[in-house]
Amino acid sequence: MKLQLALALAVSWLSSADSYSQSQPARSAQNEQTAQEVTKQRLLQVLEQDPNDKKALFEMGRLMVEEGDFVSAAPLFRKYVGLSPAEPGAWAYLLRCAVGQHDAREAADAQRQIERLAPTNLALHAQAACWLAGYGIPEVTGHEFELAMSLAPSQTRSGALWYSRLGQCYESAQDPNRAARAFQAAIDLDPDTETHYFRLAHLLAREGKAGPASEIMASAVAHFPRSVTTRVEAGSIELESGNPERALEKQQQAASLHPKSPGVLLLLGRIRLTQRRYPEAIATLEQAAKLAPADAGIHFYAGQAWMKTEQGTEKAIEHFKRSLELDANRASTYYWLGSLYFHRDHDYRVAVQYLEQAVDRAPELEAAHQMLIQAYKRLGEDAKAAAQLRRYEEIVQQRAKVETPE
Amino acid sequence: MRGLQLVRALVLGLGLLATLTTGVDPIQFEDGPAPRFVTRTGRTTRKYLPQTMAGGVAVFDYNNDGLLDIYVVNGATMPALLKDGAQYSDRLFRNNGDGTFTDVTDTAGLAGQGFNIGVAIGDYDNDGFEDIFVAGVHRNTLYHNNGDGTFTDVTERAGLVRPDPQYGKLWAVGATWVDYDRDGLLDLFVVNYVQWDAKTEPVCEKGGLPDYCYPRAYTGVPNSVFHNNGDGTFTDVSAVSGIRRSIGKGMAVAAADFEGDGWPDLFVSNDTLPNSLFLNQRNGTFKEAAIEKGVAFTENGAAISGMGVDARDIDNDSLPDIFETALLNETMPLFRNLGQVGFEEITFSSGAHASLAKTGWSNGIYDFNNDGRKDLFAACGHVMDAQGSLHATVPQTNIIFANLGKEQFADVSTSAGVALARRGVHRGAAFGDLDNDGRVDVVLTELDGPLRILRNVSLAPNHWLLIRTIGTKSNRDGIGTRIRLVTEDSVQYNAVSTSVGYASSSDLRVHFGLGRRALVQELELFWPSGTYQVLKNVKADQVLTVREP
Repeated sequence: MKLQLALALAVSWLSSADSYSQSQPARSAQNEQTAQEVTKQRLLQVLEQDPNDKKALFEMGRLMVEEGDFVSAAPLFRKYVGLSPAEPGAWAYLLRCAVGQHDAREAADAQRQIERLAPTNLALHAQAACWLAGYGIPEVTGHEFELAMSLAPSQTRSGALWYSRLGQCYESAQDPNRAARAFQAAIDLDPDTETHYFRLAHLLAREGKAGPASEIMASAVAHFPRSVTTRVEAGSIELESGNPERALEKQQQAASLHPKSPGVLLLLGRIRLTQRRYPEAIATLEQAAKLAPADAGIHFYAGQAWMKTEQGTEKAIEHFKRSLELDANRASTYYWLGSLYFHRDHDYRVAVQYLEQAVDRAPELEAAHQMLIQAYKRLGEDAKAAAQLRRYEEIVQQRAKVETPE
Repeated sequence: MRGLQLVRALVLGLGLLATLTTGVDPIQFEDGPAPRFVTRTGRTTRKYLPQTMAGGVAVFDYNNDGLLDIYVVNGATMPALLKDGAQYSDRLFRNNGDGTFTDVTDTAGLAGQGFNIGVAIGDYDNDGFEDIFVAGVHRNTLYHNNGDGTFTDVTERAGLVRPDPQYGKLWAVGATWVDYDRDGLLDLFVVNYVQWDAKTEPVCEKGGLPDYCYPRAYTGVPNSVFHNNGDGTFTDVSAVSGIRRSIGKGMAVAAADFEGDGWPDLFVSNDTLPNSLFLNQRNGTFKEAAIEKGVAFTENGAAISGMGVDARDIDNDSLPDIFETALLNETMPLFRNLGQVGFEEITFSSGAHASLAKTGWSNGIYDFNNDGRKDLFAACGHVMDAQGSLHATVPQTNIIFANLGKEQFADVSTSAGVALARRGVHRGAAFGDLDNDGRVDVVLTELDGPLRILRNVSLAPNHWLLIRTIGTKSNRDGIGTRIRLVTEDSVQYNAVSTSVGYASSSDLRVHFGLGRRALVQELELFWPSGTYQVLKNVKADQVLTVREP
């Protein structure tokens, strides 16, 4: 049972980790919800018959956690560990509940139990450290993160995936130093996977560390000399670091390997966009879109390029909408669509629809909050504007809590 | 000589052409004789961020002779931050009234210490003499004007030596004097940039050469507010006022009554972080509302590299608007104040997006051709070091947008005189009528370049009015007084403030261009104390002193 639970935890986590790197078609949320309700009903029936059914307790608790209902989930896991105190997987979920409720004491207690019961289980500790990321429980977070990192030397290549995921968690939590350490551990454990280099380099570039980002990509290029993707990413990193000329060098290197690669064209389009050579950007990105019509990213940038031209609004909207059909999760696409309807057409009603989607998907997208509040006000919906402002302020307060040590 | 005449004739021709094409009276500047001064950055092979940030300048009347004098702050050696020679001295130049200036720094005792960035002028003790606050790297200075041509450093006595409890010694780049609680005493709002230490300065490069690092490489800090106790001392109220809660990378501040409720609010431009808008809650606290009011980000959702800022009413609807400068390719955003709804950005719709090609620093909203519409000026120059392949692109020409009315602007820089065609790594700009001819002049600084005076020689036969406010219940400078001016065919609004642009301090007197109208029918003053005053039938073309009744 113990092993099974830990395994289930790991599988569920890794499958969610995959969604970071791949754009998945939107699943039918309604079907999923119905299936979940059925499962919950079944589990409730089991628990009515036997309140101590461990499997039902665990499954029910897990479902609650997935729904973000930590208040309901916590008692189930408390009961579970009361029945079976030596199962680290259940303690991990209890930790999740504590984190979700900002209960530093229970989080610390659960963390101690995990450490005692499974001191070398990377899956559990990486998961726990991930859950703690950015939740304003600095001591427990620091301890758990360091524990996860201390396990790196004893890992095999497969451990790299955990560190990559850990890095993503801390990147999302705006803790770039820890994220960088985790990504570096992923590279050290598995130097033959390109994405580990990309993640670290993008992070460094975003942090304004252009030199170290370039160095990481230089080592990636040395490791994968025939990889078009690596050259394209190297160019992308240069672009993010504000060096379009160097990005163009990398793009040309990639083009020498595969001139008609959509990725190569996408990079060139983005470079032209940065250089404000909009007609060239449009031509390049349209060409890329023809070669890879199902690439959401290409449509996104094509929309960006069209948006920069006087008469390009309709084409921009077309590309952004196509991008959303292919990847319904990209918050910035909703944002730009909202922006187009807001500024160009002054169609605040439609703008609101897109901007609401943007802030739902990326609450940290502050500009979307600003525009959404303004759109509500322009529509005369002051109550909604005020509610949105409160929501934004809650996010800011939450972030302040995270950033201010206790 | 003939060549120069030819260029002048050409520029005059361009000016006339601009008039024909834009329909506005031409704006013309020429380089006037300026005091000998070079803004020193302490150039080194290794680049330190403060070196690209220097250049504050103030125009103010330190000796009450009715003429604007010039005060410039200066850099220091790097990384020691020491003024170890006369070349690093801050300087005060007395206006002789004949187009020349006399260096009175030593007499005045204003040579200064450390690496200074910005300056703010205000009479904090209401004694009738303008005092000076200097913002610097890890060291700010308050000079009390003794009224006899000398100044005394009262920083410590005033209680302004206050390291932040979390961030330690702060690096200030500018400040504004503002009576935020309307008690008749000017308080001090200090704009702080980033956490910086020469020992931990990151190393960056551009084009293979060492260059300044992007602001993202530094941690943001809060701004500071000091409440004037009225006895020559100040209390640090950064935390209790709510200002300290907002972390930014502050570059400049504009104090204005954005809500029209009679209480001064504050807009702070931040570098690569969302702007801050601190709304006065009328109880000694401020509420940050940039997102709510729509000025945190530009319309394309960017947290730009905000630089200088000025807030004045560009469309005369009684609400102050915001003109902010920023980096190349970001535009210099123009936010129109819509009142309760918030602001809308009109940079593109107004035609002011030509600023895309420039990096702007200090800026101002002034009516340069006295046609009754306030125009826009931005001092320009790239952030990076003018070396290597960047040598040709870092110095930039300054930019002027003429206000065409109906929220439309036209870039008239190329027709505004050869002085506008001169490139430089400009930073500070202070605005004021140096020769009291009714036309607003500009004093400019350049990094490792000479001080410049752009004399306004616009030819249009327009009338004007300069108003010097003297508070009695309000602070003596009358800072914060809102003024409504009515002529036969127009209504205009402006307010008293010295805090204009980046790191700089401008003429305390409020300038109005009156177009062809030689009479102001009505002049209304809304003093910070709550006093309302109205003057009728005021003649144009004078410096009018108005004492609070």
